[in-house]
Amino acid sequence: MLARVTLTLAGTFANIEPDYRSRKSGTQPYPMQGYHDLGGAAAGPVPKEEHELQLWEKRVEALLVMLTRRKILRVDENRRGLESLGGEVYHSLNYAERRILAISNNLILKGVISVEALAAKMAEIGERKDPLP
Amino acid sequence: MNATANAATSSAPAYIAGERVLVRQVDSPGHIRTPHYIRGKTGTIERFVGFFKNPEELAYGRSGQPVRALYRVRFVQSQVWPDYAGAAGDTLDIDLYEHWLRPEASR
Repeated sequence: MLARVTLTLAGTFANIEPDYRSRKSGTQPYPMQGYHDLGGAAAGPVPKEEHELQLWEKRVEALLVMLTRRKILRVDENRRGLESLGGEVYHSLNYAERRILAISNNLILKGVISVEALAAKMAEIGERKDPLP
Repeated sequence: MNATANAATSSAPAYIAGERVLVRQVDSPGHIRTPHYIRGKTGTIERFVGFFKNPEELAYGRSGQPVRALYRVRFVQSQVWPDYAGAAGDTLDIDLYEHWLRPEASR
């Protein structure tokens, strides 16, 4: 996941088109329809297996709460971040991965963190024997 | 978002409960909260919810002002989905902002 974030921050996810593959045949996809706007799309059975949250996933939610309470990031901005990852990236990541990627992009956009500082920290963590205690 | 505080700075809502409204059929870029499947459909105002900062503006770090009237709009499922297989009386409620609605007569 960390490697994927680094790749994305380096700008490798440009030009990803909205994904209409899951849309019900016969419905008309609109050019501006986002991959998050799924109403009417064909859907199979709902997966019901539980996913036990890992510590880092809980930390992503805690980070988001902190950022919104301190008025650094609005929930609307976070949603925009999630909806502008591109369908291919969005669907290849799990819930917490999408959210930390959207948070990272927004904090860079707002000048709260720099690409360089984030990349350096991720490289440092990558060197650890136990990256996520 | 505080609906009550925002209301003091706004004019009155354009629609009242029971009015028939048409959802604008616009395919627009931006942080739009109106689902595509409901655009171009006609529903009934179920209630006025309040005035809220505009999420289409908030999403880009702007103030969200002026605040926008938000309504809960009720649609008949069989009119939304041509192949709807549920009960005839089934309805669907969606919260929609005033600038996405038009009076039904404008169709």
